[in-house]
Amino acid sequence: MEFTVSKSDLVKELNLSQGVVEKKTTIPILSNVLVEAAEDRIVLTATDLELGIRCSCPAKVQRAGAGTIPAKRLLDYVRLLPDADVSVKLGDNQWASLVCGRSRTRIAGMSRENFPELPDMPDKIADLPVKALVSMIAKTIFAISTEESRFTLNGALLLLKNKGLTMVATDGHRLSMAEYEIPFPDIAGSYRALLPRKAMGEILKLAGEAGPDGTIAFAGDDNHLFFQLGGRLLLCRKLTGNFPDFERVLPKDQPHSIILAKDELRGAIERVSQFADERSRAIRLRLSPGEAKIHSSISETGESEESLPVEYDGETVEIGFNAQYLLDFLRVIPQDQLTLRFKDANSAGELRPDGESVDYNYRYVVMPMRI
Amino acid sequence: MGRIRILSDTVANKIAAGEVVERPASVVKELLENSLDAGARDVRVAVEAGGRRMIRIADDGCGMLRDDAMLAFERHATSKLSDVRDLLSIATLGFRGEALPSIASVSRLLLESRSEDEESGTRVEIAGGKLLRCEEAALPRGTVITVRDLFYNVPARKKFLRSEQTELAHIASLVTHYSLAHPNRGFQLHHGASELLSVSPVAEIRDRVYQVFGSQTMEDLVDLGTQERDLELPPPYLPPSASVGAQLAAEAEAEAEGPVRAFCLRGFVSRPQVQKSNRNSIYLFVNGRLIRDKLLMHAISQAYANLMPGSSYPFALLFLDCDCEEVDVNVHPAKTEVRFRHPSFVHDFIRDVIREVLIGQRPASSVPARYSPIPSAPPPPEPQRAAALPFSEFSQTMHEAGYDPVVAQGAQPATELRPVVPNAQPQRDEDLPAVTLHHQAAPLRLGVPDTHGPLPNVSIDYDQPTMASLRDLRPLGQLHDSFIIAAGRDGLWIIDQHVAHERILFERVLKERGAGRVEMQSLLLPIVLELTPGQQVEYARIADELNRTGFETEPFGNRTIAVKAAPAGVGLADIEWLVFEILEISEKELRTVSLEDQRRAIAASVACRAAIKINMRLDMAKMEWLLAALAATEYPMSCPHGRPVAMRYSMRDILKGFHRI
Ligand SMILES: Nc1ncnc2c1ncn2[C@@H]1O[C@H](COP(=O)(O)OP(=O)(O)OP(=O)(O)O)[C@@H](O)[C@H]1O
Ligand SMILES: [Mg+2]
Repeated sequence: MEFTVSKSDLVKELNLSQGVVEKKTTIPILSNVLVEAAEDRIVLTATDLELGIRCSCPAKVQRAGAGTIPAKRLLDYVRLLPDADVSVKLGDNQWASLVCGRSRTRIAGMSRENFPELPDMPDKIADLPVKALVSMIAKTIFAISTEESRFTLNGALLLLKNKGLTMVATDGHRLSMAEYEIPFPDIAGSYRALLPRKAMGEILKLAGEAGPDGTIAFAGDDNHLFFQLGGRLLLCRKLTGNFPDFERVLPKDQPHSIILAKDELRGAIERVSQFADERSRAIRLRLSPGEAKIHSSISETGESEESLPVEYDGETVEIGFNAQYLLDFLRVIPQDQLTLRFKDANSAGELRPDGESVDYNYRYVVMPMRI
Repeated sequence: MGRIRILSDTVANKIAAGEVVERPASVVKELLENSLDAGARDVRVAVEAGGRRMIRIADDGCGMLRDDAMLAFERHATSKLSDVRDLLSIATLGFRGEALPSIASVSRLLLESRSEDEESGTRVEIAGGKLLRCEEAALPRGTVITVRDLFYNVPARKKFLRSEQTELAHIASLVTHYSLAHPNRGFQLHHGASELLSVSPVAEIRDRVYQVFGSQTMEDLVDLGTQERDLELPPPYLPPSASVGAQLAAEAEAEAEGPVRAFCLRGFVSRPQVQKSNRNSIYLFVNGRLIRDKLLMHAISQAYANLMPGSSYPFALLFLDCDCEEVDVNVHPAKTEVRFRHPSFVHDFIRDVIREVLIGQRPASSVPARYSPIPSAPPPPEPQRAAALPFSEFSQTMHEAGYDPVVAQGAQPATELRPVVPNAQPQRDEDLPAVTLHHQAAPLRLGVPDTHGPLPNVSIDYDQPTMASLRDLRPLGQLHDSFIIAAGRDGLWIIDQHVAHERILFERVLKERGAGRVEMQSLLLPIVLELTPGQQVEYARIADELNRTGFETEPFGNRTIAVKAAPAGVGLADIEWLVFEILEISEKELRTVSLEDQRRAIAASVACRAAIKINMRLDMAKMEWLLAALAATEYPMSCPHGRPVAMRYSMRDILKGFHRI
């Protein structure tokens, strides 16, 4: 195999593969990137067996062929080359030699034979708008549990319906749901899949390279999900398991609702939570007519309180929350205002963005703490 | 003609001997007590062949009058008790007048004694209970009793004796015990020609402990001081149902001085890092009497609960003194068992005193590297050999299970951190090529360059680490994502992040539980757990406690429960695990421990589950927080399960390692 490629193209594509390449080298070949040269392109493939990415870029192919090269080493080196063409040659002995201007390098590669075969993308299910997908991922990814247990899932539910696209994530203490009204005329009933968190992160990266107005072709087979954006394809194994019945968790009966200014609330919580327990992060939210008070204390260290004016004339309610859970939401919404809906100290609270620019449905349900 | 006959004294004594004299150590015990009762200042014990061939006890006590010397071998002849009333307040070690006749009935015994009130002494020889000789003799003041060929006339007994070494170990442990209880007397123990114990009279128990166990043990011990607690008896004073009889009870009532009973505890206990694999190092004395007692044992292990693994035992030397009315010693012929009138008061008193003293010992003490003593100090005494023998009569009887002396000896955990440099004085001479110099030159020394000069003028803390030094720690990083490396004024510290966090959480969980304000996080969806029938029973029993611990649960159909909220900080995955563990704790400890102990056990498991795990990367801010929070705990140096939290490489060791001091 022998080809010449522009340094910047190569760096850009290799960059995308880095997040996928296996870092703990349990299987050595998985820390390599598969390079295939044919016609006027090269195709780069990386996988950790859960996730795979396939990118390509134009190249002058002198001799078609394939081989694998250590991904990190290759990128670290190529990145330092001057902006010029890089010629890559891979002999039968699996040594890759790189020439660029006056620089010459040899990197030990491995034969492609042991590199896992990635499944092909089946027929497309739908085109997903990049903007909506990115926004949904950002609004839910933080609510995914980082612990592994049979009561949690390390991913989000992706739900396509005839009239909308929904993503839901939960860690058992809170639930985040984002919903866009997008017609999918081809979908009869609904399509559900569990998308691993790591794949969500990679989708964000891919989308970052794409620009907001494009669409991502989405497909799935029995075990995999596929996201294709131009010449780049990301695929991942579906998560198995039962996503909790989120409709049941969404509060239906919340008599009270107040509007809060995001920056004020966020600042107040950030300050007050300095005096919340390091681990539980518990703060108290006390709602009384005309006022929302946020308070926390650590008996030996100190305490802190903030008061925000609100329009509220119900009875006085005090609810405990994990400050981190509230901040996660406040940091992700672009709007200036939000509504807090609640019932009493023992029932879930719900946050939603508020304002004219909200063209989607975003509900964030947080279970209270009892303190 | 009837068949029942009154037993001859010889037979009766032999039977009594079966109860009193079990083995050579029992003989030593009885004779030793007699000597102590006789006011001896100096007691010398010599044995041969583990006491099977010969036991001799010589004292400088009051001695016996000639008439008494004969009488002493009559059953129930005692100078110590005259009235049944005295039984309620026994102040001497002996009181039944049973020991000498019993011993004499199963051995060849020679008594040589002279009272200070008589010019000459008496020599009495008895074999198998038969008087062989009684004569006047010129003797120094005091008593010497020589017991030979124990059980020579009771072959069945003799067969049960253990090896010479075992019997000797029992004797050694016994004499050691008594020497600890009576620091103001001198004790010697010889086995054949070898000396096992030799201590001269001293003023304080502390000095005696030092004499017996050496400086090493002394460093690991905490002095309990003199701790007193009064028991206030309820107004209608209920007299005990003492073994003496009911008519006495009424008298006792009339005589009761008042409604307050004083208890006093003195002694030493080891810091939690001293962990022994058996109870051999627990020495208990009640009113100066050596005893073994389940109640006190339990109190001690409760005091160490959460400071030491459950399978380990501390060193403890406890002297409990109380009004004689509060303790009944006449429970067992060997007098090693006592019965307290108010057992739970005694139990809690002892547990609380020890626990408080231990917790007061905040400094890291010798968990980190130990210092060698100041060079100018006299060489520290080695422990006496008697104290190092692995057997003790009391561990034998307390431990029904097999005993493994090998384990017992290697019981110290390796928490000591040593410099990597092999030796402070490397043996360079041997490694150097053999160059012979023409003149007697000093070994070649390289000039020390300036850069090797003394440390900048920082004050280095050579003292035992303190809480303050823990508070000053500055984290440097993590080792294997599991151990925090931190710099302190007093050296380099290594802290186990999981164990440290466990300690922090444990105290917090307990505190919150105590204050009744546990932080709970409600769950979005309840976690449904299936219980076994056993767990179901436990659940029914402790549902309330579970709830107050922070697990809001409710029954959910047949043998299933739904968990609706859990203590804040406990991960979802751990909830199920914890609930089951708590049910198990409660099942195991069922009714054997107090609610408070059960609570501690529950807190320990919640803390363990919620704590930062090992193999977890922490950022600097988190490490700083962890160290500060650790410094703020009451007992930062061991986790609730007793594992050490930190190790320290002291500045002294570092300087030594680099040959700077
Ligand atoms: N070493 C001794 N010095 C002086 N008197 C002694 C000595 N040993 C024994 N006696 C006397 O002999 C008596 C009998 O001793 P013995 O040990 O048989 O009974 P005891 O000590 O009174 O009661 P117990 O059976 O509970 O030990 C004692 O009461 C004491 O007067
Ligand atoms: Mg006696």
